[in-house]
Formats: sequence, C-alpha cells, structure tokens
Amino acid sequence: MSRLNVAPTKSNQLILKRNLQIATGGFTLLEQKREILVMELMRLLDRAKLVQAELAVRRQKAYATLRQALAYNGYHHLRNIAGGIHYNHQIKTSTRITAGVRIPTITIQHGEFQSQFGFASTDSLVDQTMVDFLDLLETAGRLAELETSVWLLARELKKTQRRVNALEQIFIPNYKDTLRYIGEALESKELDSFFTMKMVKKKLTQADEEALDEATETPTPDRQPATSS
Amino acid sequence: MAYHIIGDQDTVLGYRFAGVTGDAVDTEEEAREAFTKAVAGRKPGVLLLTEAVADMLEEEVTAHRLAAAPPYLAVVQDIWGPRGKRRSLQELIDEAVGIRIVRDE
Repeated sequence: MSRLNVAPTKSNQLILKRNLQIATGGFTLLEQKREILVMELMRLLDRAKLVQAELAVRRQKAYATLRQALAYNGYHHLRNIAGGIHYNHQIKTSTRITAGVRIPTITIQHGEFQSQFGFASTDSLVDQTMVDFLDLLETAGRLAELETSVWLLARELKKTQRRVNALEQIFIPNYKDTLRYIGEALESKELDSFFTMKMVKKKLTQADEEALDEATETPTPDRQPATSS
Repeated sequence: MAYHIIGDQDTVLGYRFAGVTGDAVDTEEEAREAFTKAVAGRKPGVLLLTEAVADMLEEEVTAHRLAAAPPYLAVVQDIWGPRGKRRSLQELIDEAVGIRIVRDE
C-alpha cells in the first residue's frame, strides 16, 4: 500500500482519474510494443543463426585455401600480390523502423571477381583464395547487419520492459490506492456533513414546533415539562 | 571504407585478397589504437575483428555494440583456428543488456 501525497479533494480525484486512464492506456500500448519486439528479436536471432552457419562453412573453405596458399607461396610473396588488389566495395545504409526502433539495413555492392595480378608467379590457389574470401565477406557483412539489429532491439526491449514494469508495479497501483483513499475520505466527509445537516434540521424543526406550540396554545403549567423532554 | 579488418597479419592478408583494408596488430595497445581509429569516424561500414582482437578489447567492443552505431561489427575467427568456446549472441546480450531471450517450447 502506497499512495501519493495529495489532499483528498474532488479536483484531485478528477486529475488522478485521468492520470490512471492515461497510465493504463500507455501500459497496454507498451505491452504490445514489448511483444512485437520479442517476436522481432526471435526472428532476427533465427536468421542470425542461419547466417552464422553459412559463415562458418564459407570461412572454413576460405581459410583452408588461404593456409594452403600460404604454405605454397609464402607470406611475403602473397603480400606482394595482395598489395595490388583493389576492389571497390560500395556500402549504403538505410534505416527501417520496427516498433519505434531505427534498424539499419546495409546494402553492399561487392566488386566483381577479376584477376588483378599477373599470371606468372601466381598459382590457382591465389585465385581461389580471392574467390573464397569475396564470398566470405558478403556473408560477414550480412551477419554484421543482423547482429547490430539484434543489439538495437535488445536495448529497446530492456527499456520497454522497464517502463512496463514501472507502470504495472508502481504507477497504476499508486493511482488506484490514492483514488480509493480519496474516495473513502470524500465519502466520510459527505456522511459527516449529511449528519450535521440532519442535526441542524432536527434542531430547526424542534425550535419551530416550540414556537408554534407557544403561539397556538397558552402554556399551561402542567404541559411545560412534557414538551421540553 | 566499406570493410576494414583488425587482426593478426595472416588473417589480414587473407581479407586483403578480397580488397579489405586492414590493420595488422600484435599487442593490445596496437589493437586498441586501431579500433579507436576505425570507430572514431562513425562512417557506415563493416568492421571485422578477429576473435583475438575482440577478446583483447572486450570492454570497448561491448560498449560499441551497445551503442549499435556504425561501423557495424562482425567478429571472425583468425585463420589458424578458433580460440576456445565462443559465447553466443544471446549470452552476450544477456550479459550486456540483461535480457535473456529464450524460446519457450
């Protein structure tokens, strides 16, 4: 039981009633938002898992090729070749909005595979490395996008959860308790005034009757004690 | 910068073949310096980190993930194989955000 520190008046009651209405409305909305966020998170996590599996496959292939290439050609030779490689990857980001969260979508335009080194003194492993790593890169980019989205949604979910809890556990019970208290206080006040009114009315009628009695009948000594009791 | 990688020299070399620019780092200081520089611009792009680098810079990486700002991070293995067991995305989120996402079945 906790209630707000307000005076039990009619106007406060009206204000609180409106606040409670707003709080319950907000609560319903936030609860819906939370559900949407959870659903979206689940979906993205499933997709991230798929992409991760794909990444693992491509990575194993690419890394095996690279290790082989390293073994055949040596680090320095490969580095010389790699120094001449240039791809123009274009990246564009846009945002899409889910449940009030701005989620980035990354579109990457990959450079197409092309031979960028002389055929002499390079072997097929070098070509293969390049192909494999381009594939790998594409998947890594998608994973980065998914993971970022998941982090964003998780952060928003946490915030929403906190708000839902605050409304459900603190604000709404507070308003309800205070309203009940004000209602009771107003009722007892009303009862009090009703009672006072009754008393006043009784006194007034009594006074009236006495005045009437005195006016109509001449007071007799034996009737006087009977009326005053 | 569409892609950038921070890692050991062999891994960086591999990605170099796909036209990815990279910083080869060996120590934590170098890694931190490269990471700070890569993140500072907030330019849209994908920043690849090897597991070794991600482990060295755990705090910075988590902070950047929480901010969810570009460049977007992806952690990749180095070419000489995995480094022990990795924590899954769910576990990382559970730790950093405090939300446990479990499918109720």
